[in-house]
Amino acid sequence: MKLRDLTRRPSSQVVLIVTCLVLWSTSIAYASNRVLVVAVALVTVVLWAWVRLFVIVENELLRRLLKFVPYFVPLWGFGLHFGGTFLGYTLAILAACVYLVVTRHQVRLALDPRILSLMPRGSSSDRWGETLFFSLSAVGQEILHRYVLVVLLLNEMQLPATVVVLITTATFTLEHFIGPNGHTAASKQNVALWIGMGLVYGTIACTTQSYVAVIIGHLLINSPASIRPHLRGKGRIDVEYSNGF
Amino acid sequence: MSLLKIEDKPAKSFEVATSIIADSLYLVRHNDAFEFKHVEAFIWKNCTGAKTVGEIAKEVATEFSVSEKVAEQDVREFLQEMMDEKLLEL
Repeated sequence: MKLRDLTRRPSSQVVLIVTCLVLWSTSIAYASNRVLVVAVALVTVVLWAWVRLFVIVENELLRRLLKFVPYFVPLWGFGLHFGGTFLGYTLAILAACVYLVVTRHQVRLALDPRILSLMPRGSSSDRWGETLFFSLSAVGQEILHRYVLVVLLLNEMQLPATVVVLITTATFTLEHFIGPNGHTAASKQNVALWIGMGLVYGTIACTTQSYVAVIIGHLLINSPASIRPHLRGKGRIDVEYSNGF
Repeated sequence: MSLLKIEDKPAKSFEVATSIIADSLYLVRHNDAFEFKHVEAFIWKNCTGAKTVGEIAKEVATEFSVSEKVAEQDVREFLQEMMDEKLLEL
């Protein structure tokens, strides 16, 4: 039996949800133990990816919010850090701009109104749910990989910055493959971009502690995907027929 | 997803909308979009439900001057991908 089929069973879903709730409670109760907090975050990110929330939560927006709980639980122990340097912010935004330029063909296609007009408009909660997903994934991933992991490995465990950057790049890239279906856009080009992004943003986080800057950068990178749902199904449809297409 | 056989007759899925922009054919199914260039568009055009995979491969071999064996392998792979994405039906 495939893992996906096994995890779909109601009993498996109950086990996954209860396990995650217990781990989060433990993480909050022992918030001062940062190794435990990060370990719980990494484990529950994987486990929670297999939970089929749509079976128990009908509201699209609430479901999208709940999907990101594992990323935000560590904040209980790590708190919020709003510092950073001008250089950190500049580099993070510049890196995002470079990413968008490199992927301009994909971005152009993703936002082409002639293609988007052929797609179903979807309900308001569908559209805002998708926007919420891409926004929260940017924030959540940076909190996990470039804030809590960096603080733990660099500041507490005193690992060399190079090693920390490599580890967080690996965790960030691998995270895109977890869950029943993995990432829908896991091409060789995108994997290379995730690795590049991990290296650049990991370096910015380690050297400048500009944790909010990398969140802003990632939000910029995800911005085409965030606005795309609101452009679907709009405008005239120009369909050209030629030779029986 | 079932494997495509050489005698199968693939047809365009009813759920697919198309648009030609510049030199590319774009297929849209729900929220997924696919860009097809010249060869892929030619294969798509021949998926009428009346031609077998083998016949489509022969058409490709003739049109693009490639060996039938190579065309059959490539066409079969490509059609299987389209089946997996639910762009085609049998």
